Amino acid sequence: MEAMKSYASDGAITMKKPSQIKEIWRRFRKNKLAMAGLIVLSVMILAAVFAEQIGTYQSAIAMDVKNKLQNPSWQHIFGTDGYGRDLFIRCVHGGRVSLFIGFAASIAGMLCGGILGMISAYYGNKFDNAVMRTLDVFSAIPTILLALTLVAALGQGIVNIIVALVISRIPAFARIVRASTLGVVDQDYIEAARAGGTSDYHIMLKHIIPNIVGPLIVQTTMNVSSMILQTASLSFLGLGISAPRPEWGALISEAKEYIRIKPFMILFPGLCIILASASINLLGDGLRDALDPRLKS
Amino acid sequence: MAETLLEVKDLAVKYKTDLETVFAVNGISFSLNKGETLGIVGETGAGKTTTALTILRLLPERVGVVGKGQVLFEGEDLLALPEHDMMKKRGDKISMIFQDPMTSLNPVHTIGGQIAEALRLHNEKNRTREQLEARVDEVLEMVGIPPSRKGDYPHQFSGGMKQRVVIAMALACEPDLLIADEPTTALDVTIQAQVLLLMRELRDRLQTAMILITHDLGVVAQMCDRVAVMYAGELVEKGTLADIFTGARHHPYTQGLFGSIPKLEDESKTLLHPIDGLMPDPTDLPEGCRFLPRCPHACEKCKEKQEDIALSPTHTARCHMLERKV
Repeated sequence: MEAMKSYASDGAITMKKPSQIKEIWRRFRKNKLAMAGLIVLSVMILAAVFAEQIGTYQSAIAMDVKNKLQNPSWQHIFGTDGYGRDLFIRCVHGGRVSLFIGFAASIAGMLCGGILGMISAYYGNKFDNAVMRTLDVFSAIPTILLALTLVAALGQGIVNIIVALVISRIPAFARIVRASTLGVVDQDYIEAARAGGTSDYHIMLKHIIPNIVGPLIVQTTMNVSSMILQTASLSFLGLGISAPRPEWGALISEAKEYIRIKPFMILFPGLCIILASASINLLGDGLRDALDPRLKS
Repeated sequence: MAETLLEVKDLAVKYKTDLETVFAVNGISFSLNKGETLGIVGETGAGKTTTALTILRLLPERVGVVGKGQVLFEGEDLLALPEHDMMKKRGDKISMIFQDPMTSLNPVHTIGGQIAEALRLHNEKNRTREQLEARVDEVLEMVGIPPSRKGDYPHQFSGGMKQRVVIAMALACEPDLLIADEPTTALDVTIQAQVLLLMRELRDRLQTAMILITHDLGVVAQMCDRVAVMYAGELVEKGTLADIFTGARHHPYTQGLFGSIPKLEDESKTLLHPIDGLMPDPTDLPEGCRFLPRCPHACEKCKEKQEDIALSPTHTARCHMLERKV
């Protein structure tokens, strides 16, 4: 134990303990792979945030046909695409869209599904049954098919993609949160809180959420990578981000015409997707071990 | 004459499931004066906890059903109160201490935070944050925990300390009535003695009325003014502490309970006399006296409905045999 015992002047024993967050960080740091994931992801997020400083959006979409299909060089480190646009800048700007959609859809899905799952587990019985059976119907439809249908119905655009992805994710989150809530809701301290005059809303907010937040953070993180992949798939199928705005999946889709003559064009955005989702998954694994050391065998 | 704080009238509670109906509490009546302590003793499954939960209206929804009866708290029927008003009473006027201190504290909040929350929920005096913190210190001091430990989490405390914290939470708002559901069952004997001493001291200081639920007659002898013996959802015997412990005549079940306690002065190495048999199945209770199948004095008349027989102004028992000897 790192906790240090020290005797205060009044003779009482006080424990000097490291704070929870420090303790989690200490455990997380030990995991080399997760740290690598965190670093790679941080670099990608930084690049996405400062994309405008790396190369303006104008330069990412302005055509320069004279320089089309160039191989990677010092001037264009990822080369140029079929319209002479710098592929590196397009990847950076594409990351902006992909990562934003990934995180936004995950967090929104976690909130919507989480609230639904928690309320349905808390009140139980008929309400629970109604909610969960409805969600079962939703989860019977393959995610990508549901998202495709929704985007086709709602129309393209970042917001619509997020909405489609969130709706397709709600059942999964609701089920996870419902399961963890069920484990907490029968505990004596919930009963004790009720006996102390705590309202239902307050019990959920103060007593249930802090007890289930650990696994939820992990799930949300892991989910970001699948959201990025889904966005890329939608864009690849032509139902995602509309041209000329770059997005990783769209970049691959554009590059597939040139796969025989310029394979690197498909390689770089593909690498971006792989790196992003792999590092997010590693980060999620590390977080899970750090947040709940009991799980680690 | 002391003022009546709580009066339970002919209360019956059943648990309804799809498969069966469990008759947990079958028409019990008792009253409690301000500042008084009532002990409810009985076996596991006698309906003690159900009675407590009914007073607080915390029965599991849709499953636990109050069949009939009233719970009058300061003259107000708690069972007829809207949920919102009931919520205000819980914790403020009526508090409860649960059996297992290990699980009745939320593991993710500091104990200081949990006591402060109990105070904040019923913050009628509009205390500021500093005043609340000061009150938390005061309450912790009261139960013998150094206030410097209020930033600690429940897992950093031992069982006895946790029960002290639970008591602090229950008493933080100085309730009029404290329901303690087997507060010492989960603790070992030395800690049990400490906790009981603490509870007695605080009860006397704060003038709190108390319902102490237990199956330990020793605890009852130490703590209570009046005792009610519960069996299969009925109060088979009620009386003052002296009536039950030193009175000459008892319900056969009470006799059985005392017969199964080892006696210190008894040198003859006789075996204990446990009560034969088991509690009747609460889904299918016997007619007449519930204790009939296990009673050593059973006779034909036991199959009729039993009435409370007054043995003295304070002492009643529900057995027809006691009538004859008057």
